[in-house]
Amino acid sequence: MSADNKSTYTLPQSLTKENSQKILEELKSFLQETSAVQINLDFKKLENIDSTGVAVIDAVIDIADEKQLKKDLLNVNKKTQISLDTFSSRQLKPIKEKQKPKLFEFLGGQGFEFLENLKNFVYLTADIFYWGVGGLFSKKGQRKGEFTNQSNQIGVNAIPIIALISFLVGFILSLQSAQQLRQFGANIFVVDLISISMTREMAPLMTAIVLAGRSGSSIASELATMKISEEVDALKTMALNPIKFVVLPKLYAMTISTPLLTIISDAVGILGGFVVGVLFLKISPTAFIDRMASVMVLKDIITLIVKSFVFAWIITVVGIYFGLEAEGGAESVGKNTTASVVTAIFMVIVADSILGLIFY
Amino acid sequence: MSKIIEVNDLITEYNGERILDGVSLSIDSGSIFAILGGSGCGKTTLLKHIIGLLYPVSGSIKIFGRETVGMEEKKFEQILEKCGMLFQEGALLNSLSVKENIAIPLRQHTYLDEDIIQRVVRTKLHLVELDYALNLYPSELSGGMKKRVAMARAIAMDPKILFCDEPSAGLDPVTTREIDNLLNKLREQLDMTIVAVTHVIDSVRRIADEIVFLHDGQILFTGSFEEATKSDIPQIKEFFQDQNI
Repeated sequence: MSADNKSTYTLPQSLTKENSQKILEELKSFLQETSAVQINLDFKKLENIDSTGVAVIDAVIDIADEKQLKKDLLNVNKKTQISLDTFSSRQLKPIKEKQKPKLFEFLGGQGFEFLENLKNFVYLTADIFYWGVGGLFSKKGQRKGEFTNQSNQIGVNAIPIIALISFLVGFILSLQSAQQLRQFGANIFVVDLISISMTREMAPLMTAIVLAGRSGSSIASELATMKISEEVDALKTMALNPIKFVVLPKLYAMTISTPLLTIISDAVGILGGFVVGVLFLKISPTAFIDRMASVMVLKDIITLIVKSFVFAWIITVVGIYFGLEAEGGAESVGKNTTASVVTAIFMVIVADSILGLIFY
Repeated sequence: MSKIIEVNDLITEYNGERILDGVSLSIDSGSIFAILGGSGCGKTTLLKHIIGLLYPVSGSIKIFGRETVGMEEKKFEQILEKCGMLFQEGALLNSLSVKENIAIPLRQHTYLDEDIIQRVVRTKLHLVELDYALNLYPSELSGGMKKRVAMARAIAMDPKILFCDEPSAGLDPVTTREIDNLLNKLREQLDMTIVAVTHVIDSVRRIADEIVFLHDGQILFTGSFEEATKSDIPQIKEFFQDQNI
């Protein structure tokens, strides 16, 4: 409707979230098509307007301002006026968006954050080992019965899955290598391969990977939840050291359980090889055991034990670090738990390579 | 006034223990209704039953005149789209910023332009006086601020019914009064019905048209605040005496 260079749009009876988008499209077309220098929004029919409707009116006024059109709101009743005053966004000051850092600022920030994290990790590790050794001589501030509980959770409950995985790894490793060795009539060397590779490499590594996924994640998520729900702060205010109260039982349980689980993994893995040797390669059980006894040396066992201790500490410290670094809410628990598992597995493999070179 | 919520003979149990024992109430459209009572009397449980988070052993709950107990999930979601809920601890999604939290219902249940959504978000945040928190994350907010953002999210869709679980808990007296004023304004502007579980008597006095008093899972009293203060029921007398009323 246009008269005297004015265009008028009559709003419907209701302008709420149910029809706001439709009315907005209509008003945009109205503004697009009009050649008038003034637009009028007539509220005479309007009985019901909500905050979405007010947002539509605001948007239309802003578009009219951009087009340098004059505008007028006609027949606004008292109730509608109060709604316009209450829900209008036009009087609000603009809020500055957070500026994204520039490239060098970003790189500097990341570098600084890495160094800060590294410093925290070193401090925490030092703290854990200080209290870990001190805790052996003084039980004050430690939770009674928690070591047994943690040993049960981390150690005993992990036996079935570790045994199953190790058996299958031993079985497959023997089966694949037997195919090659058989061509040279060197079936008996399967025993050498499986005994040494399981003891020096596969058993510690497989056990560590399973424990990183199973116990490392559990440690990280438990501590992260405690951190964000202020349980860690609560312990501090009760004059309890969270490292001694929460962390030490887990560290001790991991330290004891991991070597034992690794020995079980080694034995069951070799058993997998034994089954292949006896059933597929026709090696007699006595020959298998004799050969195994002759090829294995004390250094292999020491390698297994040392690796298992180192892996246990890596998994525990990484889990604790990421758990205690959690901030914010539920999302941070998930992120830090994932980070702890990935980092622990990475660090275990790096440590495995270094120890492999040392014990070569 | 028409009844927007009707609860009849609601019975609920938890681990074999009866929590609500034959609760019946009705709430007028456009009113502010307060549920009062001591800790553990079943106030929050009653609220959670009305909004369908818990399922009763028996009884009937009608919202907008429709029976919701046993209602098909999709149909119940249509009812929930017309309701807002303010949880006791705010229940903001930590992975989303304040503006994203408030925009969730608008983005999920409407087809509005992003510009309109952002305008509504800013308006609602302005109403709870947290304009500056637009781009912050919940982890950067205090407990009271979280609650106010949660209020902004609860009213994002201009719900017909707003349920509030302890809207003033953890807030300072000034903010409490501002929230009360906001609730009054929402009721007047949008004909919103507000159902609030609360302990704060000053708030109840300021905003409630009608209150019920729950004790051990049963309603001991229904009426206005003034009537409640004059009640001879021992538990109610004790409740108000403890709060110096």
